[in-house]
Amino acid sequence: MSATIHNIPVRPTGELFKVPDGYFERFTSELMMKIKQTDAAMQREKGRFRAFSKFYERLRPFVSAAAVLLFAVLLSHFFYVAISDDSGISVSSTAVSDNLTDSEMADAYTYFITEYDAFYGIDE
Amino acid sequence: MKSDEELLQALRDPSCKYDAFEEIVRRYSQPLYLQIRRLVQWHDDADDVLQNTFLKAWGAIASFRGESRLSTWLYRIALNEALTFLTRTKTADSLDEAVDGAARSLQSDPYFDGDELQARLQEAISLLPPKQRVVFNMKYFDEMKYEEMSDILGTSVGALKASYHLAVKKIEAYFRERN
Repeated sequence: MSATIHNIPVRPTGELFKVPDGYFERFTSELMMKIKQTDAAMQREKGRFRAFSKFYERLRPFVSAAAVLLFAVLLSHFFYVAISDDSGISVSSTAVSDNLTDSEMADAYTYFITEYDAFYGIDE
Repeated sequence: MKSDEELLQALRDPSCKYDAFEEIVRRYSQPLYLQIRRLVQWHDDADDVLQNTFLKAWGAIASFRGESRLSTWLYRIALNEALTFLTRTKTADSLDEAVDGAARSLQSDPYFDGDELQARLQEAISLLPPKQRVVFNMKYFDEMKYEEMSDILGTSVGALKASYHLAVKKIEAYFRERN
């Protein structure tokens, strides 16, 4: 079929573009190899994710129990601190006081009194 | 030889899905390549776009419902891929370089079988915006009906006619200027 653009018969009778010899055979085999490799990689990824999910499913009750325990500990600590002192700072720590000797406690008390007097300008 | 429907059926069977897709690639790689090559003009670019086309098709074949023919569906993917490629390269290249290079290089391209006039036509086509280039190729070289083009491109027949008319005018102007 002949057609013209601006009176120029340009429509080619055959195909204008050629390809290298054996191009389509090569293209098909290379493409299929690429597809299979990509699929295999995806399967491996899926397998890994599935294994992790399975492991997590087994672990979940323990994780939940640990979370509940941690929450309970934090909650009890919060209440302990709140009840011990209105300012929110616990002043009675048995662990600390047990380790201090009487003289150390007396020193600490003297230091506190001195600082207190100095701060408020109280003379002895 | 299996029909497209049989091949699509076979694709759902994991044991023979690769063979079925390979058959589809064998069947459609050549016609799709030629469509793509007319748009992008260079073999290496056409090779890349064709590969992307089939990779996209493989990824989406599970969602293909058979509402259109397999060939139409593949054609649509190929054109979209080619359009994406053209839009990307058009913004990357300067227009002048593309124009100067096109005809000269095409004639020295061992995979181009046309004469000087045909190389010049390809040069003129390469100056068209990507969508107009697609419309022109489909109408002028493939002698496709506007309705069929509309089905593939998802554009109205009126818009396609206008697009083709504009493309022809631009090509005529190109030849007028150079004669």
